[in-house]
Amino acid sequence: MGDKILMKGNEAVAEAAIRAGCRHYYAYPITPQSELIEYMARQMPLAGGTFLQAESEVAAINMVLGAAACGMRVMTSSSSPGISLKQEGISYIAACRLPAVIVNVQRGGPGLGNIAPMQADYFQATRGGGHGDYYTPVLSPSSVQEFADMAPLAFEIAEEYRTPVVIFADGMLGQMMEPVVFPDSYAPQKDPSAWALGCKREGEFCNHIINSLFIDPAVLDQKTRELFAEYDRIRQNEIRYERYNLDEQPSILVVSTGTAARVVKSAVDALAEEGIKVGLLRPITLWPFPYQAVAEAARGVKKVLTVELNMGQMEQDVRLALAGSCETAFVGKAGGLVFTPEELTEIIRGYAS
Amino acid sequence: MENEGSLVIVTGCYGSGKTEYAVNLAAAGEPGRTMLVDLDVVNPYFRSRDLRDEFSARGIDVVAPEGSFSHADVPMLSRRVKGALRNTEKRVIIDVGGDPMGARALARFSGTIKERGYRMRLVVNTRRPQNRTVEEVLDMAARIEAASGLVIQELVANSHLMEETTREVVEEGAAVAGEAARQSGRDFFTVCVLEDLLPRLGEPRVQARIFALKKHLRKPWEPGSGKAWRI
Repeated sequence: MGDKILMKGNEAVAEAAIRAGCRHYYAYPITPQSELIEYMARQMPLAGGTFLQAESEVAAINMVLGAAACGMRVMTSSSSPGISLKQEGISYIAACRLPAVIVNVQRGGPGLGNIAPMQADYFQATRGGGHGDYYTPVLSPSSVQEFADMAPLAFEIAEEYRTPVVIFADGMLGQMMEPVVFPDSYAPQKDPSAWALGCKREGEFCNHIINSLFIDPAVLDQKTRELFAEYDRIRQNEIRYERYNLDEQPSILVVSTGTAARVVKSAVDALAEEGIKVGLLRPITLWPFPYQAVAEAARGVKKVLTVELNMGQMEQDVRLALAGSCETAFVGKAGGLVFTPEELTEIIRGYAS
Repeated sequence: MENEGSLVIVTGCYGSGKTEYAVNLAAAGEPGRTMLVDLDVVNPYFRSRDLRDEFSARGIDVVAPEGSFSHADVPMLSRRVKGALRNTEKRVIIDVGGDPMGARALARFSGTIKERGYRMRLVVNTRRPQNRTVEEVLDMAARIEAASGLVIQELVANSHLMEETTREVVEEGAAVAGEAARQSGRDFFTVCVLEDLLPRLGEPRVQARIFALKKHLRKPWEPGSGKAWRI
């Protein structure tokens, strides 16, 4: 382990990606994500990699497809409106079964919105995002350290299942500074000869055709089923979540992720001091969503609250998890506003009494 | 002591803690006679303008883009900057954006600043990348001077890891800043430590005065952050 240093989330995830062997990065600047592309512009050439500021987000994601097809560890990043532009390419990457990492440092929306932090791209991120029948694994960090650690994790998941992986951050996680430490070594890239062009195995070129056009419906049906067989494997192996203050039976369960979950933790601690037991289930993978973990944590509670920085999106997954077994309520903020711990403490206290 | 100089310019590497230091200088200023000028055109979050309401209630004038421009990510400055720089009735603290990129915003005011006289301080956090050694600190100082057309006279050590700051981190930063000051003939002005951490850190061995910083720019989940994030 090196020294602990102070970094913005945007810088830390870029540094971690380079350390993890990412050597291709293509993107277009947008606030509040721009420190990530600036960091890559400065550091990627020093690591012997390729940095390119594309002419648009659409161009950038197609460069990602190209680099992934050639067996490279490749990443792109943007913020909400830019991620929308990338969706066509993400759908193609998913269809071509190529590994790539996409970082979304979300801002206020819809439309151009503003540059404040939001979690309003939840539906987009967890339901595929582009056209067609597919999903992408979605990792949701809650601290700068976790944001950084998700870069190597995202590459590993991407390569294991040959899928694009989305890191679902927001402006707060991108902009704030926290201490971060990088491990000395990272898992090496998986042998890309199973999918990439131009690879040799035992001296012979491996032939692959990378394609997402399957004119014959029966063939497309077969390809889609192969994709969904991999999704079953992801659901079995990759669901991640954190349980906070859930060891004793709580009266209220809160489900919250990312920046919102940080405020929830402050409120949970404050309420614990008053003798009010509130537990937090923090989904770390948003797709696949920890349905079973939410259902288990909800046993015996009076109410389940979903707290988000949007008007209620993850709430739908929470209701799917509970299947009507428990009363639910939604607490949210739009516009890029963030709860204060005092305000959230009061709201949760109201539900507990 | 910390309030010496009628025009203090706070510069430093990106993320060194300039804004927190500048805000603390302003907070310690005399009500009605203190202006804090936000020249940060680099950062979209955690800017001194976030404290405008709280500070104006205390008689400290925050000069920064107004209205919805306050939340914009465009390189714009308040039209009140030049007036503030000429206002010798007030003590003026300038919070400059990080790195030479941020310091460029100073260049267009350098004539006015030189006429008035100024003290420019470089804030050093050795726990930031590219700011870890004496050489890197001096290189940063030279590039900020070139970009701004002004001279850095004083160094402020501000090595920290937020709440995870240890005594070792403070002492390491003070040693680097002190040596950089000695090598370049600048004044090693002060060593910043978060007020809340002082009891835990004991008395760090440093070659300059300790300045206890109060944390003003809080993250949304930290108690007392309300004003900054409800806008």
